[in-house]
Amino acid sequence: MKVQGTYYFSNSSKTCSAEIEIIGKHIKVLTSDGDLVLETERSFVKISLSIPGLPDSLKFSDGSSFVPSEKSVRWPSDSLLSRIAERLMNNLTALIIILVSTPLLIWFLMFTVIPNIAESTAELIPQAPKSLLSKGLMEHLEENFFLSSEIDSKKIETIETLFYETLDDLGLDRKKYLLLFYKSDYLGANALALPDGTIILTDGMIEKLISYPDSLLSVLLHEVGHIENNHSIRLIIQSLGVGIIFTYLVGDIQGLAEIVSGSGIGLLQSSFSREMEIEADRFSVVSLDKINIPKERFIFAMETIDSDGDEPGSNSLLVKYLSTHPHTEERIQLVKDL
Amino acid sequence: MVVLLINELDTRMADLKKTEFEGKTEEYFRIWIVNLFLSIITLGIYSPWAKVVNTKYLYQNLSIEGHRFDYIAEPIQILKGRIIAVFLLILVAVLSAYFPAVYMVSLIILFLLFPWILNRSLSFQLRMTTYRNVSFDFKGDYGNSFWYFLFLPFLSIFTLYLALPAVLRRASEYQINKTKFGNRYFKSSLLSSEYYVAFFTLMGYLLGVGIVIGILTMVTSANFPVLSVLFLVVGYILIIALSASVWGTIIRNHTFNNSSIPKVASFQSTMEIKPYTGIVFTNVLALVFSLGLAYPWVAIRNMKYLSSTLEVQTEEDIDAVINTIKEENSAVLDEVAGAFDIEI
Ligand SMILES: [Zn+2]
Repeated sequence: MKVQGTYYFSNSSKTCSAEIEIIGKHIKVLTSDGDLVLETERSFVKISLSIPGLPDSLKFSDGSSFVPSEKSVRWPSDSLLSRIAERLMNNLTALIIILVSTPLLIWFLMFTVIPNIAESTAELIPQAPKSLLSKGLMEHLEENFFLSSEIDSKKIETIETLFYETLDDLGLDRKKYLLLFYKSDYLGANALALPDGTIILTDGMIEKLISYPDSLLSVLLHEVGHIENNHSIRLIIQSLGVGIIFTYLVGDIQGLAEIVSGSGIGLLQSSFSREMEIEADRFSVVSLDKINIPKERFIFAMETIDSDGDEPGSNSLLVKYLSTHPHTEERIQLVKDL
Repeated sequence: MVVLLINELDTRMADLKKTEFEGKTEEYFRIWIVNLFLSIITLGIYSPWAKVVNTKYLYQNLSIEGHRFDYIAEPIQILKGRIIAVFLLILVAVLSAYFPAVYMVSLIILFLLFPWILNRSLSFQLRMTTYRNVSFDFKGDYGNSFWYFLFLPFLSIFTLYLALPAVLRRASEYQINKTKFGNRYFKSSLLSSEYYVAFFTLMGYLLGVGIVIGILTMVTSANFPVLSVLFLVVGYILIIALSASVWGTIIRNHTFNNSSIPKVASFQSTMEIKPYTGIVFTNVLALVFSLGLAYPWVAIRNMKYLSSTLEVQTEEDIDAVINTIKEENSAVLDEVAGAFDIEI
């Protein structure tokens, strides 16, 4: 077997056009004038990975190499992996199957495998990092969105008693939870759950539901559902997992990685968190049932909070698209179906 | 005299050779999708092979004077590096879960190690790149990398980023002057003024696009909200594209045209803002709407444009460069640094 190409000398940029001759296990490199450059055995030669559209190059033990001029040159290689990969790349049926199944596999990985891994690892995370994380979040919120609560202390005491006694009734550890009250114009009527068990209730929320303690309780239990299910930690592990996938698996796609880490992650997050909202709703309904409060009180709470949610304005369409919270109507329907 | 000048220009032009890129979209797509598939079903274990094969395809299809570039990283080494990097990540995560102080300490360590990681990572990428069987390399040292890549950019914050173009010029000059092809160093002297030209040209473009999109969105928002959202999205993508293309074009032209490897090679880059903006804009659109499947098309198209605008003039020493990278396999530490995949 004789092949034309270029010989690259070891340790320098010197080159010459050459011919390679293979007889059995014996390999000879000759210049175009017929001078012998190198003589060696097959076992001392490394064959490069086979890639469609490119010739197999040879690397000799002294560091020199040979690149054939013909693109189609293939040596009998012992790398099975490289052979299989190249065969797939050149087989139309295999390509079609791969093309169809790859997006499905990615989907499966992101929406089934990673969430499951996140769920089981989240349970292993101890309290210390959760407290650390929550402390940071709390500082940020206090600095940017929170003012001291203006609700009178009597009412606050009533809510606290109701909340902690309900935790006891449900067999949950009341020491794990801390209920805090703040006024926030930005967040309006809202409740937040931090990973370490801190629950924040805004004045807006209290004003809306103060006459309906069962409904207020149902909102608090929704937040307890977030904490009991480790939602924020799961969300963090999930985005980490997706991040690693896009860096290593999909690999080196810089443009795509940027898009995903920018707006894409947001979209993914909102779809993850959508699942989590529904899970927290379910937790609230089940808990209410245990203490004999009908789920209608929770539905009432959602309707009341939502009533001044979106004013018919020009940007409400945009807000809806960007909002991470699933539509209230959809959630209400799901709760009704429980 | 005039005649002489033209003559000289003629011979110069004759020696300038286009870098050639022969990669084909259809071919690269087949390679890329199979690699992606294999990476997923092996849960990432195949991903280093995928990276090497994909990179080899792009590098080997790039040639100057008939000699192909090559990417010589060993997949098994990259795999080791990635495993160690992920292991370190998990170790730090677990440790800081029990001792919150560990997290702060490792952040500080990472910050202090950053120049070193950057040096190793840059050096690794370049040593794995060969031309005519000779490796490139980067010989940055800790102090200078800290100074140019971390400290000066940090200082420029206090000038409201007005000093940033000058800082970036010094950083890329440092980076190029510490880059080697075999035993020969690159030589580069860049002008801050050109960086300011790029900076203000970019600002001008962005301001123009911002105003036009702003007006269009406002006019349409009342009656055609869908249209106004569309304008916003297009504007957003256009701003991404312009940021990459305006800066990229001016700076790439300037750096190539003012850098050389003495006695070995000099360069001439003739990129233009308009066509390149078009390419980047449609690239982003294609990536978004194909959910990433258009990546091979994007990569090939980019390489084609970049190589078609880059000419190289080789000089007498082109076949006398000595390869200084002896060992083919680099230390595991380099692979770990490489696993961070930092690029400047
Ligand atoms: Zn919620």
